[in-house]
Amino acid sequence: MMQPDVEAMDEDPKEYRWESGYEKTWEAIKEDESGFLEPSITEMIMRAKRRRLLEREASVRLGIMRHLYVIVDMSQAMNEQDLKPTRHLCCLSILNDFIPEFHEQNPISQLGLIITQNKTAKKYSNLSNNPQRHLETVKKLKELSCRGEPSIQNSLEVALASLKHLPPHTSREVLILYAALTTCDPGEIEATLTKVKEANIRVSVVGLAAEIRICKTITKETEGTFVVCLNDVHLKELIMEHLEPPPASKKIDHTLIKVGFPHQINTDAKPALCMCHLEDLPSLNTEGYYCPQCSAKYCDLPAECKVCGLMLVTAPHLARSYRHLFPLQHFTEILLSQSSSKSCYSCYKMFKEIYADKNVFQCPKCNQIFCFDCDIFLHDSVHSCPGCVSNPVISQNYGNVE
Amino acid sequence: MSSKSEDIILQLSNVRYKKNNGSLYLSSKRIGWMMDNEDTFHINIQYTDIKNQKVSPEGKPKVQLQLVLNDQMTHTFHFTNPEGKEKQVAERNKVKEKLTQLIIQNKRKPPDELMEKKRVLEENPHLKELYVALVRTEILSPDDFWKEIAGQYKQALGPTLDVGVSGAFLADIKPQTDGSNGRVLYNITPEIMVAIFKTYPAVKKKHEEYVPHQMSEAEFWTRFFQSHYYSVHTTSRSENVFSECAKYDDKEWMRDICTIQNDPLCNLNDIYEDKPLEMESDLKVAGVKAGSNHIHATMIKRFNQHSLNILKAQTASEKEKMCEEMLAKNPDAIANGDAEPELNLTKNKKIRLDEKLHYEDLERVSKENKPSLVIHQRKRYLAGPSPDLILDEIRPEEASRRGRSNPTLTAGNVLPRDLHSELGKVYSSAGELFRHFWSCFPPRTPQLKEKLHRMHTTLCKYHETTVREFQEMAIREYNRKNNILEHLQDMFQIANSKYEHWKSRNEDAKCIKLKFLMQNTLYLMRNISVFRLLKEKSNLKMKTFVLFDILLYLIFICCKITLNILCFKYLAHSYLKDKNLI
Repeated sequence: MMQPDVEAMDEDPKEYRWESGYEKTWEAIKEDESGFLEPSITEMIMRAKRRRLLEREASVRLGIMRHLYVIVDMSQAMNEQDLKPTRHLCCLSILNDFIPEFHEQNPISQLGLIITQNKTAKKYSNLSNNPQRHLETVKKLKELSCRGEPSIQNSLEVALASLKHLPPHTSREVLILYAALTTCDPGEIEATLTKVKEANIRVSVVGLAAEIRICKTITKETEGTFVVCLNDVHLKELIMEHLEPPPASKKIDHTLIKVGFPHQINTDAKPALCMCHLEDLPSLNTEGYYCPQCSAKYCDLPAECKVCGLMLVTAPHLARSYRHLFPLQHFTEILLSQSSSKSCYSCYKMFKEIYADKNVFQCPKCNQIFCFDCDIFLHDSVHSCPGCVSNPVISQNYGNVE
Repeated sequence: MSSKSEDIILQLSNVRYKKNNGSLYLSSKRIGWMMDNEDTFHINIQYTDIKNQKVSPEGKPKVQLQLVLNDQMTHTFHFTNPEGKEKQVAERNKVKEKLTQLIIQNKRKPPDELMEKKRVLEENPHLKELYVALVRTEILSPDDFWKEIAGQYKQALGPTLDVGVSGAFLADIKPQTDGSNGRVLYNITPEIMVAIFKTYPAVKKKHEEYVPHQMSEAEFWTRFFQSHYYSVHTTSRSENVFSECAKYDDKEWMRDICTIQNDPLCNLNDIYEDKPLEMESDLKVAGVKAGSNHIHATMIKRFNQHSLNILKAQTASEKEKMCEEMLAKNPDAIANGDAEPELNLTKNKKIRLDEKLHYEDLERVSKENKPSLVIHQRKRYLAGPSPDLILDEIRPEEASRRGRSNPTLTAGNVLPRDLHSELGKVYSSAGELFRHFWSCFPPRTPQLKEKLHRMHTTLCKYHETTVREFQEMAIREYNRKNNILEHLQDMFQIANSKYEHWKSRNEDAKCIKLKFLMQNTLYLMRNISVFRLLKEKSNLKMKTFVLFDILLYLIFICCKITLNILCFKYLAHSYLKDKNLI
């Protein structure tokens, strides 16, 4: 470990931080034996992530059909440069990654964008399940200048006006990315909060500056989450947290939802114009999916039929939600000295006697050993254990056990 | 984005913007400024975005014109004609007059019902097409159109939002000091004026009284800034206007102070006290109390008044709205709320004390009860459909795959442009009608049933008129042999069959009810006759056990009759309801 310069410290013990020319950041960073610097902040974030993954329980009913409004604060506070290049641009570039991921992982959900600046709010993109439209809106927003003061009440009113007409079995959510420390509202925000609670909307806030009392109250009352980011990597983590469907609220009805599964191959299909691109004069052909109820044509699935309101999906779209129904079991953490293998089963990394590899992880079913990075990767992205899958005995009995 | 395609009404060179030389151009719709040696407009503003314009006062060395936009941005142009100051002033005035005219011309006219509708139609070509297709051909009445189709469009626009008063609005009027003669320039926009009126109703009243009869706007606002509202030291001689306001504000303040409940956790009045308390003799060293200096005390009081007024300006309208909504939902609710203020006080105290004592972050994390998910029959999720079903499906799929390779590549499906766009319009208007039709299912309320019948007749009309016409036109003018409207006609067929199916089921239900009604009446008559018979029999002298038997049977028949009567009542009621309301 690098020793801080003791003499330098002794010279000016009473100096304020802004007077000294450097921050003592080396104390946070540690070096390992081979001389590589592993930034510990990333590691701290990874460990926090693992803790969060552990907290997620199986057998919790989730709201999978989600209608999410993302409210982006475009006030003057977003011009600050503590997140590079500015908070505004950093936020929008993270949204650029968030939007296609959201549509991929939640195929039957819809997303919308709202902006708040100059004490009002405006809807920039309606609820839809087409990521292209949202990405174009984000591009437009990058050109927009950030001015004035934000208004939480007005932005919630705009989201409410649209969300309250949705059927009750969907999960209605709002995610606010908030950088200001104040809000300038035309009336009592308690009134809006009551309306939001009645409409069963779940409001979560990701703060970029500090914890604000009103945001905390709103998120607590509506069963949402409120977090404040430390740096841009952390901000990305916090926003990507919202890719997972939240636990269903207790007031949601348990209903059967009518869903259509159009076939791509139709024997007696007639050439038709598709309903999704009517304004741009699509061509007359039989390529596409025909709604089983009213026979309107659509180019892409998943879609909501504009004519009869039926939700059109394919079976693989629904199967993507299986990982919530049948999640991967948590691995047990054991000491390296007690483990039977000297390398990770998935990435073949040899375990060394360093701090990061002190604990390794073992799958309770197949008893294979995995390193810390592979553990997070398997639980976050892959959702199956390579040991179990490659073991013929376990994989055949997968359906029968439990 | 250049205005070269529009007529340029006025063009002036030697106009500087932000210390760059350039020229100013006025066209019929916008104003633009271009730097010398460039050919793109650096500034391009529509007249509808301009709130108002200002000119620099006479006697100034710089001849300037400032444009204030709707979003509070400002642009200042400096006229620098080398021929001299008079020419500059003349040019500037010319620009100002022209600009006023053009702004007025381009201003949006106040919404008349008809004008509003026209504007909506013009802004949305899609909506306009629908209007033309449906209302002009008398398929849909105009009322229906505006109620249903345009109504949904309005809903999509979103709610009209009010704007709050920023806490710093007075501070944000950054006055610019003009170095030469010590004058200070205050820039007031209409938004700031609205904010001042909202916060200080006394000033609003004064404004209505004095402007424009007794003094001009500029004078009024100058006096305002010199008054106690904005500066600490008021020049008392000429401020009669606002001294009344000061008295009014003081009265309001005393009233509000009294209504603030006695809160031990937050004692505001303490800061104004002059005399030091005995208990705090140790603290005398720490600092002088805020209220000891008179000027400081007045300033603090004014700040507090200002903040309180801002809060009051907002809460008034919201509280009224909330009260109205609550009254509408539950007329008794409000009465209950006011009856027990004291109980709320003690409860509030407890809650607040609790809040001060406990920190949520330090408590143990309590596990919330989340709704649990129970999956029965896991196997159904993990295994696909059974193998025997799959075999049957494979053969028709192969056949369809063979049949499918032909149609998409036929050249006959490429349409000439006009026909294509016509087809698109027909699709979109038909789509709108279909959407309304399908939204009626399942028709649970009588309104939905009525709407369903109406939509069906509308669809039939539409099919007769527009679709037939289109088909004939396609055959006549473009000589299309294969029917391009097949798919659309399929959609009509499906909708029609759905309607017929629903109607027949509904009719069936009515027939069944009628049948039951008749059956019930028959049973009732039969039971009554049996009853009569038994009664006669029981009057005859018989042996005891036979009499007993007859009595039992009598009771049984009585129950059946009651049941029949109840059934009759219910069926008659529902049949009549259907008939009346259908």
